Amino acid sequence: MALVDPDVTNRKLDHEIELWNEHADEYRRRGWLLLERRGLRVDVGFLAEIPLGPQSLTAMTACVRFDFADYDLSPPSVEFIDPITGEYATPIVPAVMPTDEGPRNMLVGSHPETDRPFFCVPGVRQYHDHPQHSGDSWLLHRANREGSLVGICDRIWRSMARSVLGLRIGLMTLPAATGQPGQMEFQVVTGDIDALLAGIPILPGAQASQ
Amino acid sequence: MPKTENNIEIIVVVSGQSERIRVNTHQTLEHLAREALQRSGNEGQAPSEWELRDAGGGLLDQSARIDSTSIVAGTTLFLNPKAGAGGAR
Repeated sequence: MALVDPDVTNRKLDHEIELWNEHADEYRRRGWLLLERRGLRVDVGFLAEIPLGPQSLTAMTACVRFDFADYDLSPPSVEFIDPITGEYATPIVPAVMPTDEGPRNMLVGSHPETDRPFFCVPGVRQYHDHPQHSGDSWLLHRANREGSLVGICDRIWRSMARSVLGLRIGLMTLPAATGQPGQMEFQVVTGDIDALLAGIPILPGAQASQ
Repeated sequence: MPKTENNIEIIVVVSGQSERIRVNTHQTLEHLAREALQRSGNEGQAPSEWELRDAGGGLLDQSARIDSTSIVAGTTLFLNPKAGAGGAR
């Protein structure tokens, strides 16, 4: 049962969409695609350019479903989905962000209530519902609009799309007795793109896709 | 009287909400952030707890003067709270 009048929530979500539309061109250039709004649910995809020599491949490295039920008494739910089927899915890249305590992966494998991966940042319902963050109430972050559609999209984009560095291809030969010549592995690698552009050497491993 | 060409209007998107801020280019980006926070209803918040970024997502040094950057009249910048706790190492 909704705690907030759905009419009120709908109007708040209308406002979030209006704010998106004010800078829609900018967000499009960043690779943000507002795929669908259905009631209080909004699906957003994030495109990244994966360099392949002189060319690049555009890939959707993250796709999420927002659920604004009871917004903004409650923060929006944010869950990862497959952009084609719309089913819940595990993203192919981590979500590493710099923090005062060093880089942290904001993509956590399994939420105790959903058993699905989630984006563990303030402003996201799954963060505030997690027992480890019970002392960090949503109401402490609400005024900052940390649960806004654009605000959360900005964090997902920076950590899961803008951070894409390239594709790592691994080849391993296997003993002849296996009957196979070898195995190939493909990983999308993310890292500190700003450090890379500034000429600061970053570890060749960076953060590989899961 | 200050030269008017030193005063430019910059768009700052604060947690998704646009604010048009008129500043003197001799001012620092921290001043711009503070003005944007005040106009957006976040007055009293420390700019150091927020991140100012350009359209490409690059983090800007708030101690820099506006006229030492590539920011010109009509530029859009983005101001969002720092990530805070969460995630795993």
